[in-house]
Amino acid sequence: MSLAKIIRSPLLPLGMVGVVCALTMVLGDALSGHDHRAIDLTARLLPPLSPDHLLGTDELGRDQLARLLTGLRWSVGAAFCATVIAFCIGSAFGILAAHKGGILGSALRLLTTFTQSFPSFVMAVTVIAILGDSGFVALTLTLGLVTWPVFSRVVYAEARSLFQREYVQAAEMTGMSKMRLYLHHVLPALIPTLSVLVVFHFAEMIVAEGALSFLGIGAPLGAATWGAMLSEGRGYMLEAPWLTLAPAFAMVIIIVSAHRLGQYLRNITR
Amino acid sequence: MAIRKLLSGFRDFAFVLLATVTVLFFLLRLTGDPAIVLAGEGATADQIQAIRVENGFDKPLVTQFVSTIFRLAQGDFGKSLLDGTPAMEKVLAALPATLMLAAMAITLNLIVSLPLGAWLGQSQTSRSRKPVRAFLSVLQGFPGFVIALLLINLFAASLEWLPSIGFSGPATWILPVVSVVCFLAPKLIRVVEANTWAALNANFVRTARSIGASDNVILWRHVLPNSLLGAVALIGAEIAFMLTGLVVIETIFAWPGIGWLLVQSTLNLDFPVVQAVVIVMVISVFLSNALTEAVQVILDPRIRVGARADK
Repeated sequence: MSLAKIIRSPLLPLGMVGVVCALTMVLGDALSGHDHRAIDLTARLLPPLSPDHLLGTDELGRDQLARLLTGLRWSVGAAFCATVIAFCIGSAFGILAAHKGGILGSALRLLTTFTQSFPSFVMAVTVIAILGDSGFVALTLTLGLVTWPVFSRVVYAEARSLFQREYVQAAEMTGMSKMRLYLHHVLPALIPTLSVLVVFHFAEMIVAEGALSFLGIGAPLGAATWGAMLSEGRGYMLEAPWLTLAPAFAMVIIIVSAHRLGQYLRNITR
Repeated sequence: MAIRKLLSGFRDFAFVLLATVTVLFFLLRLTGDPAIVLAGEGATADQIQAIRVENGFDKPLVTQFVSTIFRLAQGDFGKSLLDGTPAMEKVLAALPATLMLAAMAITLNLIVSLPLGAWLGQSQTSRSRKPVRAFLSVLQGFPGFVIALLLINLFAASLEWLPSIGFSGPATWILPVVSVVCFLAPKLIRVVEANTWAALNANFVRTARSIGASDNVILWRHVLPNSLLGAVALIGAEIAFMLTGLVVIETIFAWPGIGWLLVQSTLNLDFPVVQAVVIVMVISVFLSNALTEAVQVILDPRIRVGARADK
């Protein structure tokens, strides 16, 4: 591919966001050159572009860029894990219900009715608040466990018609194991739909995680997450608006990139 | 058929309520000790035990569960563990604020989105529409609470035009309503746009044009009613969302609605109030879903005919 073609590709900005995420995930604090926890009361509320602090510092003199990148690790990591959990449980349940029908099918129908009336965010707030000391594991597990019906609903609808197709029925008649049938013959046909769904779900998980941390019931106290940074920055909106702007725009960049990727995938798989 | 539909609706409703109550009960009881919270800091073991006995927390879980179900069935939602007022009373006091926010947001959303969506849907190639589309697709990436924070940052903190939080008179209503609308409008505009475009290219519009209907007649008489049909489903979903999903926005603006009450009472481990809020939310979401379906059936004869054909 020629350089000009690469520059004009709609995927270039997405790739750049992806590279930044990957670098941050691997390198952590090394990328910004600061410890995100290091408090320096002589350098409080420095504006962005200060020497040594590219994005300024917060009310305790902690480097804003280092905190932002730590938050990226947390938010993207949590959203990714929650999406994987929801994807695995949801598609497994959806395929099983589509194949076996009967009790599983009715259970799925009731579950769908239930989740439509009991929104997952309210459920997550309640669960995490009750669990008390929340950490990364509790947060991702809760988000994954309350949102998986989204996947099973879509998978169920598509897989039901798949099990009527000749090639799936033929595969079943050869007497192969159920696992092989599901993984090698049903799941691949679902990938176009699922890939789009996964990307949009990831964006939603970023929002949910941010909102929970903002409310103070997601991340543990004092952790550098985007939600927590937004909530701390609220107190300094007049003196230091960058404290809220930086995490807000970081979150928006990730979400818009995920939406773009989802639209791109939808267009090429259609 | 109508009666059967109604009956199955009631069955679903009963199931959802029972499931909600069960999930809540076990979640709440299995993870924390409400007696310790109630007693406050520095309480002696005797005091905690007394509170436990007084509220029945010492009985086996199953006994507590059965008696909770019975009391709920009689409309007794318990008292707030904080100040002793009946839980349902607190929730019903907070409900009007949420309904008001939802009503204002829906109205403003319709005022903005319908004309904008209809305008965008008339052409897919026009140049003047391109920046609007780009703006909307970026706006769609903004989470509701981030919009709220940015608006506060700009209009309350920097420009000092509007109060940032509170619930006292029209000036305090503007920012919450605008944040909700900024969050909801892109989706509604999308739907109206897509439906307008589809209707403009439908056979019935070609027929109308061929018999000489003017552009205005086509737009108002043939296209808009059809694009509204698709919008109804989304508006229904948005109402359901606003009854439950405004938790963060209400908290940011200290708007005393049920979302704010939910956060406050979960943080205080005030179980009866949490339970009452969630039950009210579930009931209102169920009602708004049912209402949306009914409105769709009334507006669109095709759904009625389709349902009859299925039988």
